[in-house]
Amino acid sequence: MKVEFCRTGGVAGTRLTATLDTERLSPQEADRLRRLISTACFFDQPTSLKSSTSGADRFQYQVTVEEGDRIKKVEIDESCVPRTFQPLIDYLLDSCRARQKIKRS
Amino acid sequence: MAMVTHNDSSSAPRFCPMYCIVPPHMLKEIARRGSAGQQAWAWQTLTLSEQMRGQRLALSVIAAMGTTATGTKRRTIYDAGNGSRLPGRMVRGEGDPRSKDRAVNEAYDGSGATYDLYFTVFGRNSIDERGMRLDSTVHYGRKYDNAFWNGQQMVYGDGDGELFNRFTIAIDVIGHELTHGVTDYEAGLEYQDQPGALNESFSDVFGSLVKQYKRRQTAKEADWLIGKGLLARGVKGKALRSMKEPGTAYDDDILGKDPQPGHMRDYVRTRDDNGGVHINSGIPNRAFCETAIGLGGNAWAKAGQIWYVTLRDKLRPNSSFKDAARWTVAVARELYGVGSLEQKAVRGGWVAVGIGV
Repeated sequence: MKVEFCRTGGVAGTRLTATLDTERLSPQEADRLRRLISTACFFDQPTSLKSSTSGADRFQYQVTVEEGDRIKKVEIDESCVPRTFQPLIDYLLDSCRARQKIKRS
Repeated sequence: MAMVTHNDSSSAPRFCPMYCIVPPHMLKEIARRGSAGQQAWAWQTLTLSEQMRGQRLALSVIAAMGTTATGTKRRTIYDAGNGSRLPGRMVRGEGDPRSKDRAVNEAYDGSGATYDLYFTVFGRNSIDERGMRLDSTVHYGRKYDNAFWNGQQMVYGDGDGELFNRFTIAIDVIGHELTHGVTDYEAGLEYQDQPGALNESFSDVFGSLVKQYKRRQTAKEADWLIGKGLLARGVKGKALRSMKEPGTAYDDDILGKDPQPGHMRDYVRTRDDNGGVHINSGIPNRAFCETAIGLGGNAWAKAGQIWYVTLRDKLRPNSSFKDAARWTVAVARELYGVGSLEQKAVRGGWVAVGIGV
């Protein structure tokens, strides 16, 4: 399973990305990622969850999951993230930060 | 007093009026006479209750009741305790002594400085021109790299400490967020593509003016940077954006290079970031900066006045860069005369970024 993640927007307007492949993760991490995808009901989500309320400087997330012959991209505004989806976003953000730390050091 | 909040990830305050057992007449009294925190709660509960019932007339009466005398600030700072419930626990109200928490004091002082600029220079009574409360929540989320306006209040994260420091550190970012509120009440610029980039640019313009006014700097003396001090130690950059030289604020291994263009020939077409609202805002940002420096003196005095009247009276939700250019030139003519130096300076500012008027 391959997961691509991208966060854009925010007042800083910077772009944060991560690409994860379960074949390159430890068995524990790969299991954790699969569980988060399952808990998020990823393949049942609509492809776009956009906010209709006013506001500014919120983040937007793009998550693409490729599993076997299935591939799906979901675009979500920060204010619309379903509760079951949030742990997956948090995990992907932590992955981005861990990679940043390695790159910086 | 029963007050129930939803625990979800949405940013909007979640006071739920359906679960409130306090009758409306009592809420109105609390909104008039309570402490700052009680007033905030009562006001919000009343407003949401009336909205739910669709009683617009009742709402307008409440709104009139909530209008304060001009020049009266009503700031309340809340602490989210690194969670995502809004508004969080009230920690400082208007007139309260300073907190031991610097983020609380920065949010308080920054919203006060923003109110002062709008009131003193532009004669505006808060975000909505009716003395709206200035509510801010600090310590939002975990390692949260952002500040935002959710349509009702300002929200500030602590940053992750690796790339970003706390978001209250920069007074222009506070002015930026509050100006999103002003834009909501005035032009209502859609948060997408060119209208969205204009929305962002007006927030940068007035955010920068808050900083310049606080420091009593001339346009020539100002650094025209947005978010100086926000980038963590070790990040190669000086700020989030440069209004004077878009695209030069940072160039870092992790953040990448500042993507802002400063001319229409470099306009970025993208689906990200609501069509690049934080990217293409560099173009109108530079138009304002060129105008202000061209005019000399304090940027808020003439260029700021022209941009403010344009935002308040002229622009519409779908206005483009070209519309903004046309209207700022027209407003300069209305305020300072046909063929005035001011009108020429505004036209020159837009020509410098590739938009002829």
